Amino acid sequence: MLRSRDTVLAWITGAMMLIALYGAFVFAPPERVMGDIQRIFYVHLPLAWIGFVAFAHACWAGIWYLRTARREWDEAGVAAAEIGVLFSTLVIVTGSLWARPVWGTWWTWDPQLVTYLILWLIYVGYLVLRGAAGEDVRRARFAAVFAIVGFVDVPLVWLSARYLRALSPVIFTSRSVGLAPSMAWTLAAGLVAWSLFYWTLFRARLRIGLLETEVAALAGDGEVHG
Amino acid sequence: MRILAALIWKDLIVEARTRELVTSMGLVAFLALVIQNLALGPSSRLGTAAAPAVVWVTVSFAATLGLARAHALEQEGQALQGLLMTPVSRSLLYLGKWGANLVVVLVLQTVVVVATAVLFTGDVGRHLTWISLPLVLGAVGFTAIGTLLGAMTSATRLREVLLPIVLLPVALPVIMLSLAGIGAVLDDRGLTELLRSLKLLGAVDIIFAMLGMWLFAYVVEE
Repeated sequence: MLRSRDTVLAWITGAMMLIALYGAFVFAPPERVMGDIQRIFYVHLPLAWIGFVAFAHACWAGIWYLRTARREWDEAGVAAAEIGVLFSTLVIVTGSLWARPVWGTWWTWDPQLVTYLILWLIYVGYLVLRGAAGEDVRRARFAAVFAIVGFVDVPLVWLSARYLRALSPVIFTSRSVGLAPSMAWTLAAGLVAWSLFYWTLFRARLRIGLLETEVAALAGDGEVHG
Repeated sequence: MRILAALIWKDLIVEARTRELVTSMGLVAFLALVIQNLALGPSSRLGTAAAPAVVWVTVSFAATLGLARAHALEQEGQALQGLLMTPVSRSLLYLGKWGANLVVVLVLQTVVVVATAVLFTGDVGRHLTWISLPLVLGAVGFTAIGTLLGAMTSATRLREVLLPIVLLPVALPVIMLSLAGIGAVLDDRGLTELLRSLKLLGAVDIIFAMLGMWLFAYVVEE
């Protein structure tokens, strides 16, 4: 039952991804100033939004784990955080690829970029923390606490980075550009496709996590009785 | 309030007897200052410009080291287990630990700032009173979140190595706002500018403290 539903979800995701790619490469016109380089935005922006949602999801799972102490929430938290780290890595890479020809530099200390970098660092730290925390219950509790702290920290980082930057001259201002309707539709398709992709990955990762726990429990039982 | 004072006092007495933390943190900080000074070279202009950055780089790394050690000591002596058995709320335990850590980090900051004023000829020494405000509020926030995360990492396998990895990115807003405040003082941008950064810094401190009081119980519970 669970599997067949996941298969359907995977097929829909694949189809939607093809539509989004078609939109990004064919349907949307080249941007007037940046040309074809701008097309990376149809991947970059959805990834950035969904990456952020993934971390919010991990925080949410953390809160519920602390309230209920149920394993499922811990597994949901790590699934969301892992995919979030993957997505935000891609965000930083695609952003750099775009910035190189347009801004003439791979990286700049713009508040948005700083926030995303720190977000990435925090959740990489989360994964390291999980690896080092030892026994299961404690690991789950620590991970939940850190997921909450990390996510609450995000607006604070953004605020302070903006404040610190406002004092020194800002070289690059906001990159929001008015979008033509076809571009907006392409962006929307990308957003839907990547959201579905996130959900597919999340469900798969969650299932693996729960199966692992089950296997570990069974193996533990074997030792006790044997 | 009396309990809180007793909790802080206990940690400070332990520290006063051994002076282990303050000595090692102070020495590490001093070494870091010497290396940074040598790295920046003899140009005094460069040193003056870099002084606020040097102060925070040194303080954040040395303080992280100290926090990790403080919590490791507690873990080794199983002092926390004893405290958890007393009828004191977890939030109060957190505040006690935070208070003690704050005092230690403030001592460290004093050492670093004085050493910076001496080693890096420049404005830091002249503006000492005003600079101390963003520095102290920065230390408040840094230790507020550091106490929570330190209690957590000291119970893991990686311990001292893990604390900087999780603490430094989270503590970054405090460091950035404190730097903004110091910058406002050194560039003579006036009191309003300084107060604005202090207000933001205070707000972040309060958020960190609330997170600590809320989550500390989950971190120390067996």
